[in-house]
Amino acid sequence: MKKIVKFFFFCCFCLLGSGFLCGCWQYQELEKLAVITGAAADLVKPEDIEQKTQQAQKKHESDIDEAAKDPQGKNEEPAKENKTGDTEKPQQHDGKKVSVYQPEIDKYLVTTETVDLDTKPENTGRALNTAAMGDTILEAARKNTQYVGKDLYWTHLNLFIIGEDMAKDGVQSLLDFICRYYQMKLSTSLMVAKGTSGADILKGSNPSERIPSFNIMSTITNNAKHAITYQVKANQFINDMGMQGISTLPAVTIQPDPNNGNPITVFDGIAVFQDYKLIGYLPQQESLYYLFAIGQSNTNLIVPIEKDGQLVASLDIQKSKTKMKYEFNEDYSQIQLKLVIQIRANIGENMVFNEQDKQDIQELAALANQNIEERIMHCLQYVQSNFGIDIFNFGAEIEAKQTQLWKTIEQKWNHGLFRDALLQVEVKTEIISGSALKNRIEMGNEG
Amino acid sequence: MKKETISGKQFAFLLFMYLNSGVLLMGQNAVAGADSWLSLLLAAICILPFYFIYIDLLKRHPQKDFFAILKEICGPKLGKFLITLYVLYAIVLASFAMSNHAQFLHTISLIGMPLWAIMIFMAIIVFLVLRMGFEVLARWIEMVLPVLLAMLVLTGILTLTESHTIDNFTFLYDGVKPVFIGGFHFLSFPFGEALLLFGLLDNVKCKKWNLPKTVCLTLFLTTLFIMSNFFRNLSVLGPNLMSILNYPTYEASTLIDAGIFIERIESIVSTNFVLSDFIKTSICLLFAARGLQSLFNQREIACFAPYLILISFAIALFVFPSIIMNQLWIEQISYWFWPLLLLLPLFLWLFTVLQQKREKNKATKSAC
Repeated sequence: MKKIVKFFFFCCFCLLGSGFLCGCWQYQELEKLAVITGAAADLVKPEDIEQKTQQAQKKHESDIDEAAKDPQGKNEEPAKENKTGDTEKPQQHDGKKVSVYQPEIDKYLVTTETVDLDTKPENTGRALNTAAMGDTILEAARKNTQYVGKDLYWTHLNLFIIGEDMAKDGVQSLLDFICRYYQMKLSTSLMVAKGTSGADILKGSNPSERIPSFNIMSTITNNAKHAITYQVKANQFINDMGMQGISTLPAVTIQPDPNNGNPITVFDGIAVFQDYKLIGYLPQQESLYYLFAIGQSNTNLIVPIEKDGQLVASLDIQKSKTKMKYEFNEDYSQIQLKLVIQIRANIGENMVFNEQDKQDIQELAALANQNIEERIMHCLQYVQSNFGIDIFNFGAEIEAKQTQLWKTIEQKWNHGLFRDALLQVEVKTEIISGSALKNRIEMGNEG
Repeated sequence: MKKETISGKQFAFLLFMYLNSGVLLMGQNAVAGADSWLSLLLAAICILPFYFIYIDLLKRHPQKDFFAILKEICGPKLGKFLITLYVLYAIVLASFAMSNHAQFLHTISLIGMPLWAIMIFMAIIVFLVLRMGFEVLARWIEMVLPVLLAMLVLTGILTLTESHTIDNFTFLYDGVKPVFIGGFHFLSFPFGEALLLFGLLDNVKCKKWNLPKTVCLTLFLTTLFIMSNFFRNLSVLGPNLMSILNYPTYEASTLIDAGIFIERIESIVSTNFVLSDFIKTSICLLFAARGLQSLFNQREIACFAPYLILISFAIALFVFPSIIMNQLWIEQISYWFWPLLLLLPLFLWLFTVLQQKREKNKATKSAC
């Protein structure tokens, strides 16, 4: 009898256990998910909404006409479809016409790029773009579902592009969405669409990849390796904004390809933010030395070396270390900021110097010091005169070393104190051999 | 009454998991901010004498548990009243841990799953623990903790690849006051709560070390572990982001991206949170069951298991229905219990010491 009872309980246990094997509460088949790989957020002014709605209406009507002319559907292009929602229709209520509630505020346009998980060979890896408008970012993001017909899955999102208009208006709501929404990850890379909308960047043509966001991500990773730009993750940006109220993001834009004139997405400088708002851009040439100065790109930067206006060599930076120093005057009304940068570099190209001659190498190192000092100083002065805010994070250095002093000058720091600071750059270059050549290639008539 | 015996190692493991619960999940103290590590250190130093008091109190009353001591010193009526308070506190704390566990899972991934559905699984397992007893829990933790620790250390190291903001470590940034307030907070939550675990001790066998030495070492290692976790979070997330996130440790682990293919391993961290909350709930309800056993003079604690589970389940569901309520509990309400956790045991110990001294004096006088 005892055995039978034991067996009965064992069976009950097995049956209970089998209930847990059928999957979790929110189990969903992969084919019912729309995996988002990239997204963009833009701000749409109320006056633009009507224009966009009319455009969408016209496009819709012309599509219907074309479909009537072409009943076989040969001209259909479902791969990159862009739809915008929100149409207004008056409603009948107690004999009076009451229009649809429409708040007089800016709207957000969230564009998503989803990967088509269809297993047919012609559809594999195809990107589908949808866009939806909403009063808030979350609402716009959710509305995208109606165009995809599947549950949007944000967890694999790697890239969020912020449209220029939205960046100028403020990105606080977007950052809140990224932090708060359970499917979003803090490791999402952020960037600003320079001179255009985020949606346009996301739709941009890409010669090597079928999915634009993958193309942008691989470009930023490779460019970061070669010190052209850098990658900023959401957690980093949010923390910087919360601490100093200042941060930077890489700027991406659409430019014509010099070879064939086709539009391509390229990284162009750095977007500077203050109090969650875009206040300007650092040009590409300045941004290279900005990244170098703050130690973000401390390898692989190519530095051309000039002598009397002539290009004589170039250096390939292998390692660099930046130290920030500061010194106040007696009444703490002015500060001297100093960057001390130690560099180890390979000779990238050499047209003039004899690499076997120690004196020549010393001259090259001295020239490199002078050249890099000038360029970083120019970058510092550019930031001082154009923005007047400390994007180099000298403030954090002061805060860490003299907390009490920092508390007294914190309010003034980005409101005049940094702008009036005296600047100094000191570069110490060490040339190391790291190429297949022992010396430069000589010309036949050379002595 | 059934005597339950656990080894010193098992006790150390239980204490480690019990103290980690909640603190690892919730992160820094709201008042002390980036100086929370100092508060934690201060609280750990301050709590050590209290742990010795708990141990000494049990040692001075051999063959008696905490509730019997209460009855003996405070008298049957006041003793029973105090036992009721302790039982209520233990039930509320268990409900808090249960709710914490459910809220965490509900927030990070099981967003559509109702809280009761998440909690019911923990309730079933805790019910089994209450039926089987303290020894089973101790044996289980001895088996599981080494694996958990190895996983946590691994994720901790992997997260360091994302560490950026080393400059953000501060030392008395806003002065001494916030550090003291934070320290007082940590003294109640989580360090003071360990009284419930000490209250379960009938018989701990320590082969290599004595109990005070084991407790000392465990407290040191736990503080070190929580502090290293705090520094890791601070360097990966930065002070600002860390202060606004509900689960900074979990969020820091979502950033792991080592060599592209080692990523999205945050579920390892979640496992630790879930298990530490399970340990805490089990210990609190075991303590409550022992209290009820002492109040109603029952032979076994298992008969209280269904009632305790149902009460704590209901409290978790209706009193702690959201993260906001849980935060409020940690930041404000948990302060209210320090007289129960620190002051009363101190009084009991002082009374015992003085009484035993008096008895000793009397004995020597009568011998003379």
